[in-house]
Amino acid sequence: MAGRGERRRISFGFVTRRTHVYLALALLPWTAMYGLTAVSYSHTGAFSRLEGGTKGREWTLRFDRPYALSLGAPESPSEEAELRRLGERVLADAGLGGAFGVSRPEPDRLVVSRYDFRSTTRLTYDATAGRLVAEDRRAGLDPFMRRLHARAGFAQSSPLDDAWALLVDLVALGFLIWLASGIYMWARLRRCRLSGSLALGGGLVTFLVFLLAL
Amino acid sequence: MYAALVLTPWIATYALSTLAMNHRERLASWYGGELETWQLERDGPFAGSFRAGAGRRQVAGLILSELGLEGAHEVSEREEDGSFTILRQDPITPRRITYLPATRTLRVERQVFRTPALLERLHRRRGFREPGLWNTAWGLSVDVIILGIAVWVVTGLWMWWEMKNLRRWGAVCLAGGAGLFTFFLVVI
Repeated sequence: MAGRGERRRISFGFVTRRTHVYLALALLPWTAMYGLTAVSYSHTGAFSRLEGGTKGREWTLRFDRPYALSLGAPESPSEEAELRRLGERVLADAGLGGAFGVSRPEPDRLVVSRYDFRSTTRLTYDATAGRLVAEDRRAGLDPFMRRLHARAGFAQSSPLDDAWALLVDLVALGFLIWLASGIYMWARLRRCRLSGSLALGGGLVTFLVFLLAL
Repeated sequence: MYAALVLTPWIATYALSTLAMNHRERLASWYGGELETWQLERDGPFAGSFRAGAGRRQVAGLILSELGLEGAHEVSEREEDGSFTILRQDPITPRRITYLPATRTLRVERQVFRTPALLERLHRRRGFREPGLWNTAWGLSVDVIILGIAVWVVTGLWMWWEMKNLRRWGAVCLAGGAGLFTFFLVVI
């Protein structure tokens, strides 16, 4: 046994066990979130039923005011990058920012949906009428759960959205690290090797059967 | 531990597919900009017949049965030419089948295999809308994963708390993660 004046030798197993537990604790909110929010996909409408349906999720008017923005020639299709540029301009002129989606359902209409986890602001620009209408709606429980689960990617231009996407990467890598470190720790438990092998092998076979049978 | 060992393939799939979907555009650029491309498998007459007034699900079911491709699928009908487009949701080899009633022709295309696309399909496969034992069983397996995650969170917290020498730094990690998560929940 190492004395008080001697440093303990740090083994691979020690690092593995500490990484497994501290990473799991740090990423616990995301792990729990992905588990819980998956219910809204596996059982569509489950959370809506919990809150009694979608009554009350009405759009409320924020403003309706004159606005002028050139959308480009009506007969030419707007490319994704150009649409996003227009969307960013509309948001900036409305004093808003953050994650958004944009579409051009008609040649003279642009719809920008600015969203966060809990609400959506829809900005509709009518180039013919020269007006911009902004409406807000709070997300119901189901959409809230789905947004938490599905929010990812680096398509938005906000640094905070990129930071969230990096955390999503970290959680995914965390799952892989837990798998690898978990298998390593199990393999060190001699008494559980046979039963663990059966469990691991059984899971692999079942998964392969699903791939072929679905 | 045993639950984690059994569910290892699912967890690995969800983790890898999350990485794939988080970097979808970059991965698509490796394949010329599109992850989903189709290759013609056959294009010719279809001898099957449908009773008058058959709905699109019945039409799709009969076509898939004739082709030996029964299973989970989506079907849509185009008003302009009355054509049916069936998407057979095979996880490894999805197929797109287009039937034109006017000419009684059938076009079958298979999706070119791409690993990121396979992972994404497996991640998105869930629910109990599709009939059939295997589809229901897969939906149940997703529920098992959800329960597994809940069990790992609870048992993991309990096991950590039992290790007194890890409580302080563990609490720091837990509080840090919770704080960061709450920050993002509010700000974005």
